[in-house]
Amino acid sequence: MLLFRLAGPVLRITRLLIILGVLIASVILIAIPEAYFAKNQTFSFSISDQSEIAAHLDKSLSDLLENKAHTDEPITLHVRSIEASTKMSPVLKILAALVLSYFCIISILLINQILVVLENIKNGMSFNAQNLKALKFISLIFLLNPLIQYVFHFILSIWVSFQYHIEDLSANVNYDMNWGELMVGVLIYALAIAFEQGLKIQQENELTI
Amino acid sequence: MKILRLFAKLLSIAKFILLLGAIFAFTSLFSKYSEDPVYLLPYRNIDLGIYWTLQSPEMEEEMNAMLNTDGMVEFRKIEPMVKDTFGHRIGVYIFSVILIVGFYLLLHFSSKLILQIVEGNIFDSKNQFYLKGISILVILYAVLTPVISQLLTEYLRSTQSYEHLILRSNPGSNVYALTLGALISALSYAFSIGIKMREENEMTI
Repeated sequence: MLLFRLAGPVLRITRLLIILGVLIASVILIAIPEAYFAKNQTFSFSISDQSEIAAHLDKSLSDLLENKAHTDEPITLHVRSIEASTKMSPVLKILAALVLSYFCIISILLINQILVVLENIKNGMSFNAQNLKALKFISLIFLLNPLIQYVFHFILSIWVSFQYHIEDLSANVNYDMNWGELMVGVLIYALAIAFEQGLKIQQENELTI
Repeated sequence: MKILRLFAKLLSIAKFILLLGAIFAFTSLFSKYSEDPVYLLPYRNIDLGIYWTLQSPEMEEEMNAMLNTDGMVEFRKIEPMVKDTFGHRIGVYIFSVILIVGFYLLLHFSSKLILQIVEGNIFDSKNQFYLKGISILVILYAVLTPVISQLLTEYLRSTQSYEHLILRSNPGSNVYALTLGALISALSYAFSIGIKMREENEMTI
């Protein structure tokens, strides 16, 4: 009880911070467009195990760290991933703006619906049509969000591999489906069905009285 | 309803696959430790957010010259994998066991709850117990992950340190999981009201 009473104010502050962040970002974007985006974008790349680069980097690393390690046990190091930065292209700028807008909209929508449910339960109106609608909407967001993110990362990975093709290196933009989020979506959908039943029982009780 | 039933069955299967996978992973890690060194870092795989980065201008220059990417990209950070020590392996094992037990219970409670709802046993004290269990597990995950990550990072910093290598800890924000835990906790409270309503309804009939 205490936790979800506390969650309401915390969520309201979070929503306010998101809106303020979006407003500040929009003002900066309109006033000084070139200052809005970072000059460089960083990607992570994996190195093929059997490649010359991997062997060369491992050797360079052991030479570099020779006699400089302070450890209780002998160490061996392998370089398998590196980060590279590239200048922000117009395509990357548009993508970054789209991703940011998407997350802000989704977060605000989700927070609004969660607040509706929390407020109603706090006020003793657990089973009503508003809660039912909000729960169905929350479950829809949880079910669709991982699918949208998966498609986005798939497109991004194709674009990055096409744009930055480097031998023996592969860009780490692959994205695994967020099964946890999907599970939460189904669970909340099941709870929405339970609430539908609760609403019916409540209406029957009211009619009897 | 059919999809929900199917999903509940899938969750029950996932629960057993999780157990089998855990047994297989533990036995293979134990057997490997006695033979070859195993490179466990970076820890990103198990969500602890601990990783090493190498920051060396010499190596950056070397990389850029070797790859000859015509200035298209410039290499900044290099992430090496470090041979794990017995102490940190134990830390990872303990965290993995806690995580596996937690996920098993989460899958168990979720599948049971969905099956109960599909079968029409909605406002039941068992369901309220499952919902409470789910909310506690989600909140514990949100609270414990950064604590364990920080403890393990401090341990690693005290036992292994290298020049040019920086150990970073970034378990990420858990506000999302906390919000979810609060929402499920509120829904479990609503379920307790639903149970009372159902009892009243049955008494009237």
